[in-house]
Amino acid sequence: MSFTEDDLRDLLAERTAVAPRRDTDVAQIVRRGRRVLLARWTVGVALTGAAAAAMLTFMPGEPPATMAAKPRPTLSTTSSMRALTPMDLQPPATLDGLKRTGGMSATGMGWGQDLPATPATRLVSVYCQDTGAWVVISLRGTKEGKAARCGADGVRFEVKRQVKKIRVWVFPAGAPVDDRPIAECVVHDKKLGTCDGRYAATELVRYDVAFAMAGDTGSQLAGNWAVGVYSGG
Amino acid sequence: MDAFAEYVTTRSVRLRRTAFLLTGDWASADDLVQTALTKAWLAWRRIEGDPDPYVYRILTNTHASWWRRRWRGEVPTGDLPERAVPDFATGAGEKEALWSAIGELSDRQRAVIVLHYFEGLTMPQCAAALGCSLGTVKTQLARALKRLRVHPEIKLAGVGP
Repeated sequence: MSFTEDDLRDLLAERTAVAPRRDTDVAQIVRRGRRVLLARWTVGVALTGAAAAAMLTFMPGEPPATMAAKPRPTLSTTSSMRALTPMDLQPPATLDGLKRTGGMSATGMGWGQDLPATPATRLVSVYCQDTGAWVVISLRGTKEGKAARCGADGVRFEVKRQVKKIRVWVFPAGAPVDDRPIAECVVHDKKLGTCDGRYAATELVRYDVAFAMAGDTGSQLAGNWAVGVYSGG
Repeated sequence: MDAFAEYVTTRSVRLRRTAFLLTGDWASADDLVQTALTKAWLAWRRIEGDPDPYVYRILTNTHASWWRRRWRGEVPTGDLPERAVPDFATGAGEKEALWSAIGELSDRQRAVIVLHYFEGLTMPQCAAALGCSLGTVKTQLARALKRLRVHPEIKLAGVGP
């Protein structure tokens, strides 16, 4: 008993000709995908958080003497990509006449961090080891915020309204971000917050968009950064 | 409708059939397609051009991982099961034998058979979909055909390669 290739083709076609009727539910697939994203992100945050726990330093308003003695990193140190520690990236104690009232430093990128704010909070300043990294600062509960590449002087954002939390995301320089104005996008997907298939920088202040990008980039990326929260009065 | 939804709508029927040929039953095929499309959705923004090769790759890889994990334990019994006697008179028995032999192929051999003979992919396309070399695809195909007793050199009159 032997067969030809055509016997084989015929058999495969014949066996699949009558299929039980069942529509594939796109909405269900997307819901399942979102659950996977959420799980990945949660696990990533947990692992990164655990790994970085020893390195993660929440800074008080008044830095201890040992921290204050360290000079603030200059352009040359941040852009040289030497192995900086979070402590090297310590934000200054005062900035533009404002006093640092909070902040943190981290060794991982691709995940969001909430910082407490007070009615007196006026400025947020983020410093990165990778000077091309994308920084997203958003005021929780509002649509206000900013997404920009981390420059030599970091990224600053003026807080002009009272919020309880400020969320900061730092993504690697190669993150799929398009910083053109939305009007210049050929295809702008408002729901996904994308511009021609990449995440629109202006949309990254939305939690769901930043979250989706974190799912794409991964959340266990090495990269030191620090943020200072400054208050007046 | 976004591109992903459009893709699912237009391709899901075919993907279900391919998945059925890989798994051997419709319930598993539905699970496989759902899982593969979920993975495709997660990577959708990074897929450029025709999504089919990516989706086939996800489909076959997911099936291979299921196949590796599947429990193949035997149920101990004192009696040998009766063997079916093929009905050669009608030809249905021969087809059943061939179908049964397909089910006994390894997951990789089965994937090559399905992609090449059902989806009509060329061997290089099969290699791309399976993430292996062209030589591996040729070897797997030759071994699969040998096990199925399919002889490529025998052609029906008027049928091209």
